[in-house]
Parts: sequence; C-alpha cells; structure tokens
Amino acid sequence: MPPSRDDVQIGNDLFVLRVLWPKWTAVKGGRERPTSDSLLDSNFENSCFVEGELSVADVQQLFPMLKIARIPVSVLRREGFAIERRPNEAPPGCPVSEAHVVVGPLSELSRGDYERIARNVVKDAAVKVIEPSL
Amino acid sequence: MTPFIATNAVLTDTPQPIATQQATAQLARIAQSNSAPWLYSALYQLRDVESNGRMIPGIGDLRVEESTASKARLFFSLVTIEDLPVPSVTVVSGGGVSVVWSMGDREVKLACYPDGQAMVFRCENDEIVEPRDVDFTNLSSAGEPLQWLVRQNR
Repeated sequence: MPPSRDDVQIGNDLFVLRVLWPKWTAVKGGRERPTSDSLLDSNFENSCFVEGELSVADVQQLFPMLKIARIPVSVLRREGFAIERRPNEAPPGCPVSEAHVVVGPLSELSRGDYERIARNVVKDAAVKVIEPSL
Repeated sequence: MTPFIATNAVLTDTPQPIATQQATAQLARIAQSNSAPWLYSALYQLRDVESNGRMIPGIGDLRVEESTASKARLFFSLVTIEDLPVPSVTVVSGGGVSVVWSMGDREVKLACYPDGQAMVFRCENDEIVEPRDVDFTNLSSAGEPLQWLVRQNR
C-alpha cells in the first residue's frame, strides 16, 4: 500500500538509505546513479531506512554485498514522494526497526508519471551510490 | 554451445502456457537466424530473474509471476531487429520486470507489470521522451521504439 501519510517528523535535512538490488544502478554522464527501477515498487511502497537512526554500516551489515543509495528526503518530497514509518516491516535483525520507512506517492499515479518522478529523484546530483563494504 | 542451441535451451526450460506458445515459436524462429545475440542474453537474464525471485524485507517483493515474464517474452517475439544491443533485464519490487536497451544517449525501457499491463518508454539524454502502452496485437507498433533506438546509428 502507498504511504498513508507523510511523516513530517522526518526532516527535509535527513537522508534515507535504499538498498539496491543488482542492476539497480547505471552509469549516466560518467556518474553511477540508481536506476528508476529502484524506486518503482508496484505497490508504491519502496523500503528505505532513515540515515542517522540507522547507520550505513548497520544497513551494510543487514545487506552485505549490495550497494546502497543515499537519497535526500528533500529530493523525495520535491518529487511528490511521502515517507512513512513501517517498523513492523523492518527486516529481521534490524537493530532499530523504527528506522524502516516506505517512500512513495500518497496516491496511485499513472505509470508514466511514476516513472518520471522516480527518474527525477535518482537523477538528482545529491543522490549518491555507496559501494558495499568488504 | 552455439547461440541457437543455447536459446532453445532457455525456451525449453521455461514454463510455457498456451498463450505464449505462438510467441515461443517466433522466438525460436529469430533464434534460428543465429544473428540476434541480444535475444539469447535477454531470455537468459529473464529466466534468472524468474528463478531467483524472493521476498526480502527491507528491499521488497522480488518474485516475478510467470505471466509477467511471459509478457516480456511476447514483446521480444515482436521485435524483428536482430542487431540490437544486449539489454539489461531486472526485477522491479512488487513483481515487475524491466528491460532496458541503451545506445548512446538513447534508451528504450520495457516495463512489464504484475497486473499484465506493459509500457515502453523512449528516453533521450536521461529524459522520458514518450511513454506508451504496449499494443501486443500490433506487430509494427510494438517494435517501433527499438527502431527509433537504432536509427541514430544508421
């Protein structure tokens, strides 16, 4: 289900961490960035973690060998994504389940619009890809 | 293993409902031409996506229904261009499949959704130029975006 509300307690100055499945990155203009596929969950609920409440190292420990996208909350909101806490859906072993959120539009969008806003997010220069820790 | 034999191995190992038998025959025909290396890779990647799907809390539901993958195979069967770049095939959280062909500043993305719908996006310089629903009944229109992709290099 899409987020039912935007949690304003999660400030625009924060970042969320999105774990990237293999092939969810591409090199565009010499820069590696996430693909829009990484933010196009069919149910409009893309799992992320609030950085600061959970560290990059914590997420890397939960998902070794996978890259992570670091995405500004302000960029998500600019494109119409809301952020909602979903502690009950945190992965097993997550040390701070409250840090688990889903991001997505508050209501269902056309697929063309969803693709467009997801692409706008991942193209933003402030979005970074973090390599897996070894 | 030649591309022809390998492609047929991929097709044979994949469950085939009646609706996709015609598409499978078309894919086999293309494979017999032995000159569409993109197709073997696409089918192989697609089978990988289907067989490795799972639910991963913290990332999403990466399971792909056979019917969704069949839509991608059906699209492949409508493509008559043999010298396409090898696409990148991946799962989309929630049960979708994404297939992206890139060439220079252009890319064409096929998105197959778990509800059976499919869209194709023409993109240039990382911007969507045109999103459109895939018309599986119209052979020429289905492959049109890929003709646009390769046209720039001809």
